[in-house]
Amino acid sequence: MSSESDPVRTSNPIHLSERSAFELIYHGFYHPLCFYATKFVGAEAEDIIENLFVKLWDKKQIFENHTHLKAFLYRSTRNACLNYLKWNKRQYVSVEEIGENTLVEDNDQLSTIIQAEIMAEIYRAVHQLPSQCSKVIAMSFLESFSNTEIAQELDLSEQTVKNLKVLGLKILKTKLSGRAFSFFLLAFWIS
Amino acid sequence: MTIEEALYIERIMVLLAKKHSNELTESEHLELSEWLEADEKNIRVVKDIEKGDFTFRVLKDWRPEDATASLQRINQRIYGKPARKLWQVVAVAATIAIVLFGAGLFYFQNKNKQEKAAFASQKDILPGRYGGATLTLANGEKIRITDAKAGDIANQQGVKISKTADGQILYEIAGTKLGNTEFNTLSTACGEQAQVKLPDGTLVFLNAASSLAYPTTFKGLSTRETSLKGEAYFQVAKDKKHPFIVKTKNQQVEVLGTRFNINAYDDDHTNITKTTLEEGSVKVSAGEKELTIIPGEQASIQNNKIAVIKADLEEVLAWKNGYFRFNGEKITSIMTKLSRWYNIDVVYLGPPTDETFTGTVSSDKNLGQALKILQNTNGVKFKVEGRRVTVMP
Repeated sequence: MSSESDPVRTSNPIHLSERSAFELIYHGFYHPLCFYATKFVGAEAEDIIENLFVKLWDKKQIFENHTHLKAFLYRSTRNACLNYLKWNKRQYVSVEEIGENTLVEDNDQLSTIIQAEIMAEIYRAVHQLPSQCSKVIAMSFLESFSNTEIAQELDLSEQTVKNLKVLGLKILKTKLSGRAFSFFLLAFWIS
Repeated sequence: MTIEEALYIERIMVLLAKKHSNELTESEHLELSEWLEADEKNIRVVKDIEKGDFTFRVLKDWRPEDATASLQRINQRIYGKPARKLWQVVAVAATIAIVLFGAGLFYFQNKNKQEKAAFASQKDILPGRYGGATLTLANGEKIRITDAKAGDIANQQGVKISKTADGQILYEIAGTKLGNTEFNTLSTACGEQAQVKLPDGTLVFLNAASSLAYPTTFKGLSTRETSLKGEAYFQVAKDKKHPFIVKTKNQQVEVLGTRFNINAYDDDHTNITKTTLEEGSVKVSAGEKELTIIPGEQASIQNNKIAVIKADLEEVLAWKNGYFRFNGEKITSIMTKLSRWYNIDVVYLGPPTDETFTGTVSSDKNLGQALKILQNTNGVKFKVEGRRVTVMP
């Protein structure tokens, strides 16, 4: 996939009013934005993201490039969450909540976004592969299925699964931005 | 996040990737170390990433199908209006659903253009405001504190106005030195809600047309005693030695530290007070009777009799969370709630309908929008003249 046509990465202006761009952006940002919003509002995250994108669609906004878009999306998500919290003072219980659901403090947000975006890089990279490759790579590395299990599930021979895996990694290595692949390795092989 | 922050985030990601593949130059290494040392959360995040299992667990749940399903819901809201079509063939049932959508979008279109015109012909009534109240001092002096700017309210009155992290106006009762205990009262009119922090740290959300009396100081008192008219939600600061007491006309609630809602509006003069517990435990007493309720329960008191039911917490706390939630509610009860928030007078043309309404309406809508949602159910009609709303069958 060329980086020029990919609205998640492009350095060209992005028109949110274009249906295809809107959908690609939604696929590229839905999970990381939900991840980010969950830190503020827990289970309400999904609703908040959906509401946000309905509003964005109505606004027909144009963004200079992907950095502008990304900055805008995270900022809007944060604002929408704080708005939601306005009369639902969940931050007062934050002491009792620990672990993954810990609610973010204000100065926490940049590192949370970095975390969300790194995972998003991996996610986008894997799911932008040709469909069979993508399935095999996702099942193998994200869901740790064995080759035999994948072969059964996708109704392929084990050799084909192996081939698709090699091919998928090769595409990831050559065509996608080095950093996504690097994180992919980082997260799943060098741990 | 600003563009600068976004660029900074991208830069850090590149550095982290380079670190992994051993491509960091000396100056980049320094740059990354500086970022890591700037905040321990940065180190934690990097550890989370490098400890593959966290990333792994999260990514496993990031299924493209979920994004697709979510996108379909959005598309339906943007393009499709299937609900309306459906509605036209479904006969009006005894219980009429008000369609609810998170952002307040509703699919129904007004079928009757004339009714639409009735709303459009006059300026719509705005919703109430968060942060508006009157302070009545022990000596009877009244002070409006709605329009005071943050921080500038006279501190001798013992109220400091501040803004919370999310921009909410908070009235902080500063508390006076030991001395005579006097009671001040903070009250809201129709169309006002206020958030108050008492000197012990207890947070009180005051609904419209309500008032809370509190001592100017809790120091030297064995209990923290307040009294309430109307409705309020309490987040009581923990202090086992000094029980927090809320008195209403016909009951008393005693707690050590917890969250609960008291509705002591006397709308239909039945004199019922409802105490609903969200968290912790509270003791409700009336006359000789007393009872402890657990989270999710609601105690109703009438004539010194206590009844306990399982509460619809979402419905009870909706007012505090910025919306109205009606669960099989009669139009009279709905209109009472709306009148408190929009500061309107309600009159009924003929006997009010027996039909009940279920649904949610955001309380930041103008009155016209809220009425339109109700009207679109075909169960009721409205006429608005000035601040007077006529309800017609």
